[in-house]
Amino acid sequence: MVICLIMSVMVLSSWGKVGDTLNIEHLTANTKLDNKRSLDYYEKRVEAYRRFWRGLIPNQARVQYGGSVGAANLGLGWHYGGKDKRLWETDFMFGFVPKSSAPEAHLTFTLRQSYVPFRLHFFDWLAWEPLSTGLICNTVFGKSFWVSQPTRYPNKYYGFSTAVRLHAFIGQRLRYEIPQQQRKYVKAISFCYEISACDLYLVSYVPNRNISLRDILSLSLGIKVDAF
Amino acid sequence: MLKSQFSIFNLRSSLIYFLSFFFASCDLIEYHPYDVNIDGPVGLTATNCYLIEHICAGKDTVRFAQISDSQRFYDQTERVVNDINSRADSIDFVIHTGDLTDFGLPKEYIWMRKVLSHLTMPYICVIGNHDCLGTGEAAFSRMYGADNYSLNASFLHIVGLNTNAYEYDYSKNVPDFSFMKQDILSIPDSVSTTVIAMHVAPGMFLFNDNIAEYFDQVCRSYPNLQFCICGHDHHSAVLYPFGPDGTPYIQCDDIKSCSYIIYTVTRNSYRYEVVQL
Repeated sequence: MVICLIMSVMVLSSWGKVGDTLNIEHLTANTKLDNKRSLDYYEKRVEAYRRFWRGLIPNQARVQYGGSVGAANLGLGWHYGGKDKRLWETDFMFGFVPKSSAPEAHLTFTLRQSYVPFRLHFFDWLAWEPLSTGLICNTVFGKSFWVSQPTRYPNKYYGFSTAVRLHAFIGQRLRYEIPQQQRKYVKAISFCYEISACDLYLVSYVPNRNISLRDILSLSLGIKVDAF
Repeated sequence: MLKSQFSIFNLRSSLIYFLSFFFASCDLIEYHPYDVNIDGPVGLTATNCYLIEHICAGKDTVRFAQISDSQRFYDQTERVVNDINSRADSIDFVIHTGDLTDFGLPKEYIWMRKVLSHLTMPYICVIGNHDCLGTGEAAFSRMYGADNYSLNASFLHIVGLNTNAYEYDYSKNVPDFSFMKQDILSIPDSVSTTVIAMHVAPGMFLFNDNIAEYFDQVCRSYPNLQFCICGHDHHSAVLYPFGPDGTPYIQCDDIKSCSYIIYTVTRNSYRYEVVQL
Protein backbone atom coordinates (compact mmCIF):
# COMPACT_ATOMS: atom_id res chain seq x y z
CA MET A 1 0.00 0.00 0.00
CA VAL A 2 2.65 2.47 1.14
CA ILE A 3 4.96 1.32 -1.63
CA CYS A 4 2.21 1.91 -4.20
CA LEU A 5 1.71 5.39 -2.82
CA ILE A 6 5.42 6.20 -2.99
CA MET A 7 5.63 4.83 -6.54
CA SER A 8 2.70 6.88 -7.73
CA VAL A 9 4.15 10.03 -6.15
CA MET A 10 7.47 9.34 -7.92
CA VAL A 11 5.75 8.78 -11.23
CA LEU A 12 3.68 11.92 -10.89
CA SER A 13 6.69 14.01 -9.93
CA SER A 14 8.67 12.64 -12.88
CA TRP A 15 5.82 13.57 -15.21
CA GLY A 16 5.82 17.05 -13.78
CA LYS A 17 9.57 17.42 -14.43
CA VAL A 18 9.22 16.15 -17.97
CA GLY A 19 6.52 18.72 -18.55
CA ASP A 20 8.70 21.57 -17.24
CA THR A 21 11.77 20.76 -19.35
CA LEU A 22 9.64 20.18 -22.36
CA ASN A 23 7.98 23.55 -21.99
CA ILE A 24 11.37 25.26 -22.10
CA GLU A 25 12.51 23.18 -25.05
CA HIS A 26 9.23 23.90 -26.66
CA LEU A 27 9.75 27.64 -26.33
CA THR A 28 13.30 27.54 -27.73
CA ALA A 29 12.17 25.36 -30.59
CA ASN A 30 9.25 27.63 -31.22
CA THR A 31 10.93 29.35 -34.16
CA LYS A 32 11.04 26.18 -36.26
CA LEU A 33 7.51 25.02 -35.89
CA ASP A 34 6.46 21.86 -37.57
CA ASN A 35 3.29 19.83 -37.65
CA LYS A 36 4.82 16.89 -35.73
CA ARG A 37 5.21 19.06 -32.64
CA SER A 38 2.60 17.34 -30.50
CA LEU A 39 3.94 13.89 -31.49
CA ASP A 40 7.46 14.93 -30.42
CA TYR A 41 6.13 16.03 -27.10
CA TYR A 42 4.41 12.70 -26.59
CA GLU A 43 7.47 10.69 -27.59
CA LYS A 44 9.73 12.64 -25.28
CA ARG A 45 7.34 12.15 -22.48
CA VAL A 46 7.21 8.40 -23.06
CA GLU A 47 10.98 8.30 -23.26
CA ALA A 48 11.30 10.18 -19.96
CA TYR A 49 8.78 7.86 -18.41
CA ARG A 50 10.77 4.84 -19.59
CA ARG A 51 14.02 6.38 -18.41
CA PHE A 52 12.55 6.85 -14.96
CA TRP A 53 11.44 3.24 -14.69
CA ARG A 54 14.68 1.98 -16.23
CA GLY A 55 16.45 3.66 -13.34
CA LEU A 56 14.50 1.47 -10.96
CA ILE A 57 15.53 -1.85 -12.51
CA PRO A 58 17.38 -3.86 -9.85
CA ASN A 59 21.04 -4.07 -10.84
CA GLN A 60 22.15 -6.78 -8.46
CA ALA A 61 20.97 -10.10 -7.06
CA ARG A 62 22.01 -11.81 -3.87
CA VAL A 63 21.89 -15.26 -2.32
CA GLN A 64 22.69 -15.65 1.33
CA TYR A 65 23.06 -18.52 3.75
CA GLY A 66 22.52 -17.99 7.47
CA GLY A 67 22.80 -14.62 9.12
CA SER A 68 19.72 -15.02 11.37
CA VAL A 69 17.38 -13.79 8.66
CA GLY A 70 16.45 -17.20 7.25
CA ALA A 71 18.34 -20.34 6.26
CA ALA A 72 18.58 -19.41 2.60
CA ASN A 73 17.71 -16.01 1.18
CA LEU A 74 17.26 -14.89 -2.38
CA GLY A 75 16.83 -11.27 -3.33
CA LEU A 76 17.23 -8.36 -5.69
CA GLY A 77 18.58 -4.92 -5.05
CA TRP A 78 20.31 -1.81 -6.17
CA HIS A 79 23.81 -0.42 -5.79
CA TYR A 80 24.08 3.30 -6.16
CA GLY A 81 25.78 6.42 -4.91
CA GLY A 82 29.41 7.52 -5.07
CA LYS A 83 31.38 8.12 -8.24
CA ASP A 84 31.15 4.56 -9.56
CA LYS A 85 27.70 3.95 -8.12
CA ARG A 86 28.62 1.35 -5.54
CA LEU A 87 28.75 3.19 -2.20
CA TRP A 88 25.27 2.21 -1.06
CA GLU A 89 23.24 -0.91 -1.56
CA THR A 90 19.62 -1.65 -0.88
CA ASP A 91 18.33 -5.19 -1.16
CA PHE A 92 15.15 -7.02 -0.46
CA MET A 93 15.21 -10.75 0.04
CA PHE A 94 12.87 -13.60 0.68
CA GLY A 95 14.00 -16.54 2.75
CA PHE A 96 12.74 -19.34 4.89
CA VAL A 97 13.29 -20.77 8.33
CA PRO A 98 13.22 -24.57 8.32
CA LYS A 99 10.83 -26.42 10.56
CA SER A 100 13.48 -27.84 12.93
CA SER A 101 11.60 -28.63 16.15
CA ALA A 102 8.92 -25.98 15.58
CA PRO A 103 5.43 -26.94 14.38
CA GLU A 104 5.99 -25.35 10.97
CA ALA A 105 8.52 -23.72 8.66
CA HIS A 106 8.37 -19.95 8.19
CA LEU A 107 8.81 -17.50 5.35
CA THR A 108 10.90 -14.40 5.98
CA PHE A 109 11.23 -11.05 4.24
CA THR A 110 14.33 -8.93 4.62
CA LEU A 111 15.19 -5.37 3.76
CA ARG A 112 18.84 -4.49 3.99
CA GLN A 113 20.78 -1.29 3.60
CA SER A 114 24.54 -1.56 3.23
CA TYR A 115 27.38 0.89 3.03
CA VAL A 116 30.53 -0.21 1.19
CA PRO A 117 33.06 2.62 1.44
CA PHE A 118 36.21 0.99 0.01
CA ARG A 119 37.18 -1.10 -2.96
CA LEU A 120 40.82 -2.09 -3.29
CA HIS A 121 41.81 -3.58 -6.64
CA PHE A 122 44.38 -6.37 -6.64
CA PHE A 123 44.03 -6.68 -10.38
CA ASP A 124 41.62 -5.25 -12.86
CA TRP A 125 39.45 -8.30 -12.35
CA LEU A 126 39.83 -8.86 -8.62
CA ALA A 127 39.00 -6.47 -5.82
CA TRP A 128 38.69 -6.59 -2.08
CA GLU A 129 36.02 -4.68 -0.25
CA PRO A 130 37.41 -4.64 3.29
CA LEU A 131 34.27 -3.22 4.89
CA SER A 132 30.62 -3.58 4.30
CA THR A 133 28.32 -2.50 7.06
CA GLY A 134 24.68 -1.67 7.51
CA LEU A 135 21.33 -2.51 8.98
CA ILE A 136 18.92 -5.31 8.28
CA CYS A 137 15.22 -5.33 8.98
CA ASN A 138 13.81 -8.83 8.94
CA THR A 139 10.28 -10.02 9.39
CA VAL A 140 9.11 -13.58 9.86
CA PHE A 141 5.63 -14.63 8.81
CA GLY A 142 3.50 -17.00 10.83
CA LYS A 143 0.57 -16.96 13.17
CA SER A 144 2.74 -17.07 16.28
CA PHE A 145 4.56 -13.86 15.32
CA TRP A 146 3.15 -10.39 15.68
CA VAL A 147 4.42 -7.00 14.61
CA SER A 148 2.65 -5.35 17.52
CA GLN A 149 1.12 -7.32 20.33
CA PRO A 150 -2.43 -8.66 19.88
CA THR A 151 -5.14 -6.39 21.22
CA ARG A 152 -6.07 -8.77 24.03
CA TYR A 153 -3.04 -7.70 26.08
CA PRO A 154 -3.01 -4.54 28.16
CA ASN A 155 -1.32 -1.62 26.48
CA LYS A 156 2.45 -2.14 25.97
CA TYR A 157 2.48 -5.40 27.93
CA TYR A 158 5.19 -6.85 25.70
CA GLY A 159 7.41 -3.97 24.69
CA PHE A 160 8.79 -5.63 21.56
CA SER A 161 7.73 -7.33 18.34
CA THR A 162 8.21 -11.05 17.80
CA ALA A 163 7.92 -10.66 14.02
CA VAL A 164 10.32 -7.80 13.27
CA ARG A 165 14.02 -8.01 14.07
CA LEU A 166 16.67 -5.37 13.51
CA HIS A 167 20.22 -6.53 12.87
CA ALA A 168 23.45 -4.62 12.50
CA PHE A 169 26.19 -6.24 10.45
CA ILE A 170 29.78 -5.84 9.43
CA GLY A 171 31.54 -7.88 6.77
CA GLN A 172 33.94 -8.16 3.87
CA ARG A 173 33.84 -9.16 0.23
CA LEU A 174 35.99 -10.43 -2.54
CA ARG A 175 34.85 -9.19 -5.92
CA TYR A 176 35.53 -10.87 -9.22
CA GLU A 177 34.87 -8.56 -12.13
CA ILE A 178 34.32 -10.36 -15.41
CA PRO A 179 36.45 -8.82 -18.18
CA GLN A 180 34.37 -6.77 -20.58
CA GLN A 181 34.95 -9.02 -23.60
CA GLN A 182 33.96 -12.17 -21.72
CA ARG A 183 30.78 -10.87 -20.15
CA LYS A 184 27.74 -12.88 -21.07
CA TYR A 185 25.18 -12.43 -18.34
CA VAL A 186 26.64 -10.47 -15.46
CA LYS A 187 29.25 -7.83 -14.75
CA ALA A 188 30.73 -9.03 -11.47
CA ILE A 189 30.41 -11.64 -8.75
CA SER A 190 31.20 -10.91 -5.10
CA PHE A 191 31.71 -13.43 -2.34
CA CYS A 192 30.66 -11.98 0.98
CA TYR A 193 30.61 -12.86 4.60
CA GLU A 194 28.99 -10.84 7.34
CA ILE A 195 28.84 -10.98 11.11
CA SER A 196 25.63 -9.65 12.59
CA ALA A 197 23.79 -9.31 15.87
CA CYS A 198 20.10 -8.71 16.39
CA ASP A 199 18.37 -6.35 18.79
CA LEU A 200 17.08 -8.98 21.23
CA TYR A 201 20.51 -10.59 21.52
CA LEU A 202 22.13 -7.24 22.14
CA VAL A 203 19.78 -6.38 25.01
CA SER A 204 20.59 -9.80 26.51
CA TYR A 205 24.31 -9.34 26.02
CA VAL A 206 24.72 -5.85 27.44
CA PRO A 207 23.69 -6.41 31.10
CA ASN A 208 25.13 -9.94 31.43
CA ARG A 209 28.74 -10.97 31.78
CA ASN A 210 27.52 -14.55 31.37
CA ILE A 211 26.69 -13.93 27.71
CA SER A 212 29.74 -13.61 25.53
CA LEU A 213 29.99 -11.73 22.27
CA ARG A 214 30.38 -15.04 20.46
CA ASP A 215 26.98 -16.13 21.85
CA ILE A 216 25.14 -13.32 20.10
CA LEU A 217 26.97 -13.14 16.77
CA SER A 218 25.70 -14.74 13.63
CA LEU A 219 27.64 -15.45 10.44
CA SER A 220 26.23 -15.28 6.96
CA LEU A 221 27.83 -16.36 3.69
CA GLY A 222 26.61 -14.84 0.49
CA ILE A 223 27.13 -14.32 -3.19
CA LYS A 224 26.23 -11.05 -4.82
CA VAL A 225 25.92 -10.72 -8.56
CA ASP A 226 26.07 -7.34 -10.28
CA ALA A 227 24.05 -7.40 -13.47
CA PHE A 228 25.33 -3.98 -14.60
CA MET B 1 55.57 -5.27 -12.41
CA LEU B 2 56.20 -3.97 -8.92
CA LYS B 3 52.55 -3.23 -8.50
CA SER B 4 51.47 -6.72 -9.40
CA GLN B 5 53.96 -8.35 -6.97
CA PHE B 6 52.65 -6.17 -4.20
CA SER B 7 49.10 -7.15 -5.16
CA ILE B 8 49.86 -10.87 -5.13
CA PHE B 9 51.33 -10.62 -1.66
CA ASN B 10 48.29 -8.72 -0.50
CA LEU B 11 45.98 -11.17 -2.15
CA ARG B 12 47.59 -14.21 -0.57
CA SER B 13 47.65 -12.87 2.97
CA SER B 14 44.15 -11.51 2.79
CA LEU B 15 42.87 -14.79 1.37
CA ILE B 16 44.45 -16.64 4.28
CA TYR B 17 42.78 -14.25 6.71
CA PHE B 18 39.55 -14.55 4.84
CA LEU B 19 39.53 -18.36 4.86
CA SER B 20 40.79 -18.86 8.40
CA PHE B 21 38.06 -16.56 9.64
CA PHE B 22 35.56 -18.51 7.56
CA PHE B 23 36.32 -21.89 9.05
CA ALA B 24 36.74 -20.62 12.60
CA SER B 25 33.24 -19.17 12.51
CA CYS B 26 31.26 -22.01 11.02
CA ASP B 27 29.37 -22.67 14.27
CA LEU B 28 28.20 -19.07 14.15
CA ILE B 29 25.72 -19.91 11.41
CA GLU B 30 22.21 -19.30 12.67
CA TYR B 31 19.10 -19.46 10.52
CA HIS B 32 16.85 -17.25 12.59
CA PRO B 33 16.58 -16.14 16.23
CA TYR B 34 13.30 -18.08 16.41
CA ASP B 35 14.64 -21.20 14.67
CA VAL B 36 14.13 -24.03 17.17
CA ASN B 37 17.44 -25.73 16.51
CA ILE B 38 18.52 -26.87 19.96
CA ASP B 39 21.60 -29.02 20.46
CA GLY B 40 22.82 -30.47 23.72
CA PRO B 41 20.72 -31.98 26.48
CA VAL B 42 17.00 -32.06 25.67
CA GLY B 43 13.98 -33.67 27.31
CA LEU B 44 15.30 -32.43 30.65
CA THR B 45 12.00 -32.66 32.56
CA ALA B 46 11.74 -36.43 32.13
CA THR B 47 15.38 -36.98 33.07
CA ASN B 48 15.24 -34.70 36.08
CA CYS B 49 11.87 -36.06 37.31
CA TYR B 50 13.46 -39.49 37.32
CA LEU B 51 16.47 -38.16 39.25
CA ILE B 52 14.27 -36.34 41.77
CA GLU B 53 12.17 -39.43 42.40
CA HIS B 54 15.37 -41.39 42.86
CA ILE B 55 16.94 -38.85 45.23
CA CYS B 56 13.82 -38.40 47.36
CA ALA B 57 12.78 -42.07 47.52
CA GLY B 58 11.98 -43.09 51.10
CA LYS B 59 12.47 -39.61 52.59
CA ASP B 60 10.10 -38.27 55.28
CA THR B 61 11.05 -34.68 54.62
CA VAL B 62 11.41 -33.25 51.14
CA ARG B 63 13.26 -29.97 50.68
CA PHE B 64 13.30 -28.00 47.50
CA ALA B 65 14.09 -24.50 46.33
CA GLN B 66 11.92 -22.33 44.10
CA ILE B 67 13.35 -19.81 41.68
CA SER B 68 11.30 -17.81 39.21
CA ASP B 69 11.32 -15.26 36.41
CA SER B 70 14.98 -15.51 35.50
CA GLN B 71 14.36 -13.88 32.11
CA ARG B 72 17.45 -12.05 30.86
CA PHE B 73 19.04 -12.06 34.36
CA TYR B 74 21.79 -14.58 33.67
CA ASP B 75 24.36 -13.10 36.05
CA GLN B 76 21.87 -12.95 38.92
CA THR B 77 20.70 -16.48 38.14
CA GLU B 78 24.27 -17.66 38.40
CA ARG B 79 24.58 -15.98 41.78
CA VAL B 80 21.43 -17.71 43.01
CA VAL B 81 22.59 -21.04 41.55
CA ASN B 82 25.86 -20.73 43.44
CA ASP B 83 24.02 -19.94 46.65
CA ILE B 84 21.69 -22.93 46.21
CA ASN B 85 24.71 -25.13 45.54
CA SER B 86 26.28 -23.95 48.78
CA ARG B 87 23.27 -25.41 50.59
CA ALA B 88 23.24 -28.56 48.47
CA ASP B 89 23.01 -30.89 51.47
CA SER B 90 19.70 -29.37 52.55
CA ILE B 91 18.05 -28.97 49.13
CA ASP B 92 16.92 -32.02 47.16
CA PHE B 93 15.91 -30.31 43.94
CA VAL B 94 14.90 -26.98 42.41
CA ILE B 95 11.65 -25.85 40.77
CA HIS B 96 11.75 -22.95 38.33
CA THR B 97 8.27 -21.43 38.13
CA GLY B 98 8.47 -20.04 34.62
CA ASP B 99 9.79 -17.21 32.49
CA LEU B 100 13.16 -18.70 31.78
CA THR B 101 13.30 -16.43 28.76
CA ASP B 102 12.23 -12.89 28.03
CA PHE B 103 11.43 -13.23 24.31
CA GLY B 104 10.91 -17.00 23.92
CA LEU B 105 14.12 -17.27 21.86
CA PRO B 106 15.74 -20.71 21.60
CA LYS B 107 19.12 -19.11 22.33
CA GLU B 108 17.75 -17.70 25.58
CA TYR B 109 16.70 -21.22 26.54
CA ILE B 110 20.21 -22.44 25.74
CA TRP B 111 21.85 -19.66 27.76
CA MET B 112 19.55 -20.29 30.71
CA ARG B 113 20.13 -24.04 30.50
CA LYS B 114 23.86 -23.39 30.63
CA VAL B 115 23.50 -21.38 33.86
CA LEU B 116 21.01 -23.80 35.45
CA SER B 117 23.18 -26.80 34.50
CA HIS B 118 25.60 -25.63 37.18
CA LEU B 119 23.05 -26.66 39.81
CA THR B 120 24.36 -29.68 41.66
CA MET B 121 20.82 -31.03 42.12
CA PRO B 122 18.17 -31.72 39.45
CA TYR B 123 15.74 -28.98 38.46
CA ILE B 124 12.36 -28.85 36.77
CA CYS B 125 10.63 -25.93 35.08
CA VAL B 126 7.10 -24.86 34.34
CA ILE B 127 6.41 -22.73 31.30
CA GLY B 128 5.89 -18.99 31.79
CA ASN B 129 4.04 -16.52 29.61
CA HIS B 130 7.27 -15.11 28.13
CA ASP B 131 8.40 -18.65 27.32
CA CYS B 132 5.39 -19.01 25.01
CA LEU B 133 6.30 -16.10 22.71
CA GLY B 134 7.20 -16.78 19.08
CA THR B 135 8.40 -20.38 18.80
CA GLY B 136 9.16 -20.40 22.54
CA GLU B 137 6.66 -23.10 23.34
CA ALA B 138 8.23 -25.43 20.77
CA ALA B 139 11.66 -24.65 22.23
CA PHE B 140 10.37 -25.38 25.75
CA SER B 141 8.88 -28.66 24.69
CA ARG B 142 12.09 -29.65 22.92
CA MET B 143 14.39 -28.70 25.78
CA TYR B 144 12.22 -29.65 28.76
CA GLY B 145 9.27 -31.68 27.50
CA ALA B 146 5.55 -31.52 28.22
CA ASP B 147 4.15 -28.32 29.72
CA ASN B 148 1.98 -30.34 32.14
CA TYR B 149 3.69 -33.09 34.12
CA SER B 150 3.92 -34.56 37.57
CA LEU B 151 6.30 -36.58 39.69
CA ASN B 152 6.28 -38.34 43.03
CA ALA B 153 9.10 -37.29 45.32
CA SER B 154 8.63 -39.94 48.02
CA PHE B 155 5.28 -39.04 49.68
CA LEU B 156 5.03 -35.74 47.81
CA HIS B 157 3.21 -35.41 44.51
CA ILE B 158 4.51 -32.41 42.54
CA VAL B 159 2.50 -31.13 39.59
CA GLY B 160 3.81 -28.68 37.01
CA LEU B 161 1.10 -26.88 35.09
CA ASN B 162 0.87 -24.50 32.17
CA THR B 163 -1.52 -21.76 33.34
CA ASN B 164 -0.70 -19.03 30.78
CA ALA B 165 -4.19 -19.13 29.30
CA TYR B 166 -3.95 -15.67 27.76
CA GLU B 167 -1.08 -16.70 25.50
CA TYR B 168 -3.22 -19.28 23.75
CA ASP B 169 -6.37 -17.32 23.11
CA TYR B 170 -8.54 -20.41 23.68
CA SER B 171 -6.64 -22.43 21.04
CA LYS B 172 -5.49 -24.87 23.71
CA ASN B 173 -6.89 -26.12 27.01
CA VAL B 174 -4.99 -24.04 29.55
CA PRO B 175 -5.04 -25.13 32.32
CA ASP B 176 -5.57 -28.68 31.09
CA PHE B 177 -8.21 -30.23 33.34
CA SER B 178 -8.18 -33.56 31.52
CA PHE B 179 -4.48 -33.83 32.36
CA MET B 180 -5.16 -32.97 36.01
CA LYS B 181 -7.99 -35.50 36.32
CA GLN B 182 -5.92 -38.23 34.67
CA ASP B 183 -3.02 -37.32 36.92
CA ILE B 184 -5.14 -37.58 40.08
CA LEU B 185 -6.21 -41.07 39.05
CA SER B 186 -2.61 -42.16 38.53
CA ILE B 187 -1.32 -41.18 42.00
CA PRO B 188 -0.09 -44.23 43.93
CA ASP B 189 -1.28 -44.87 47.50
CA SER B 190 2.13 -44.17 48.99
CA VAL B 191 1.73 -40.51 47.98
CA SER B 192 -0.15 -38.47 50.53
CA THR B 193 0.68 -34.82 49.89
CA THR B 194 0.53 -32.53 46.87
CA VAL B 195 2.21 -29.31 45.81
CA ILE B 196 1.27 -27.65 42.52
CA ALA B 197 3.70 -25.43 40.62
CA MET B 198 2.55 -22.93 38.02
CA HIS B 199 3.68 -19.63 36.58
CA VAL B 200 0.50 -17.55 36.65
CA ALA B 201 -1.76 -17.94 39.71
CA PRO B 202 -5.55 -17.53 39.65
CA GLY B 203 -6.46 -13.87 39.97
CA MET B 204 -3.68 -12.67 37.66
CA PHE B 205 -4.98 -11.50 34.30
CA LEU B 206 -3.04 -14.04 32.22
CA PHE B 207 -4.92 -16.80 34.04
CA ASN B 208 -8.31 -17.70 32.62
CA ASP B 209 -10.16 -16.36 35.66
CA ASN B 210 -13.52 -17.45 34.37
CA ILE B 211 -12.61 -21.01 35.36
CA ALA B 212 -10.61 -20.12 38.49
CA GLU B 213 -13.21 -21.60 40.90
CA TYR B 214 -13.32 -24.85 38.97
CA PHE B 215 -9.51 -24.88 38.81
CA ASP B 216 -9.44 -24.61 42.58
CA GLN B 217 -11.97 -27.42 42.87
CA VAL B 218 -9.85 -29.74 40.70
CA CYS B 219 -6.68 -28.73 42.55
CA ARG B 220 -8.30 -29.57 45.88
CA SER B 221 -9.20 -33.03 44.66
CA TYR B 222 -5.48 -33.84 44.72
CA PRO B 223 -4.56 -35.67 47.94
CA ASN B 224 -3.85 -33.21 50.77
CA LEU B 225 -2.94 -30.20 48.61
CA GLN B 226 -0.72 -28.19 50.92
CA PHE B 227 0.03 -25.15 48.82
CA CYS B 228 0.68 -23.95 45.29
CA ILE B 229 3.78 -22.12 44.12
CA CYS B 230 3.82 -19.47 41.43
CA GLY B 231 5.86 -16.61 40.03
CA HIS B 232 5.09 -13.99 37.41
CA ASP B 233 4.49 -10.94 39.60
CA HIS B 234 8.16 -10.22 40.41
CA HIS B 235 7.80 -9.97 44.18
CA SER B 236 7.48 -12.45 47.01
CA ALA B 237 4.04 -12.80 48.54
CA VAL B 238 1.51 -15.28 49.82
CA LEU B 239 -1.73 -15.01 47.88
CA TYR B 240 -5.11 -16.34 48.87
CA PRO B 241 -7.14 -16.04 45.65
CA PHE B 242 -9.92 -18.20 47.09
CA GLY B 243 -10.25 -16.54 50.47
CA PRO B 244 -8.22 -16.82 53.67
CA ASP B 245 -9.31 -20.44 54.20
CA GLY B 246 -8.46 -21.40 50.62
CA THR B 247 -5.24 -22.80 49.19
CA PRO B 248 -2.24 -20.51 49.74
CA TYR B 249 -0.30 -19.54 46.59
CA ILE B 250 3.28 -18.80 47.51
CA GLN B 251 4.75 -16.40 45.00
CA CYS B 252 8.48 -16.17 44.42
CA ASP B 253 10.30 -12.97 43.63
CA ASP B 254 12.20 -12.70 40.34
CA ILE B 255 15.87 -13.60 40.00
CA LYS B 256 16.77 -9.98 39.32
CA SER B 257 16.48 -9.29 43.04
CA CYS B 258 18.55 -12.44 43.78
CA SER B 259 15.77 -13.96 45.83
CA TYR B 260 14.53 -17.52 46.10
CA ILE B 261 12.47 -19.70 48.45
CA ILE B 262 13.41 -22.92 50.25
CA TYR B 263 10.54 -25.24 51.19
CA THR B 264 10.60 -28.03 53.72
CA VAL B 265 7.63 -30.35 53.31
CA THR B 266 6.59 -33.30 55.46
CA ARG B 267 3.42 -35.39 55.19
CA ASN B 268 1.36 -32.99 57.32
CA SER B 269 3.25 -29.74 57.46
CA TYR B 270 5.38 -27.39 55.49
CA ARG B 271 7.45 -24.33 56.09
CA TYR B 272 9.31 -22.02 53.79
CA GLU B 273 12.11 -19.55 54.00
CA VAL B 274 12.64 -16.65 51.64
CA VAL B 275 16.33 -16.24 50.91
CA GLN B 276 17.45 -12.79 49.87
CA LEU B 277 21.03 -12.46 48.66
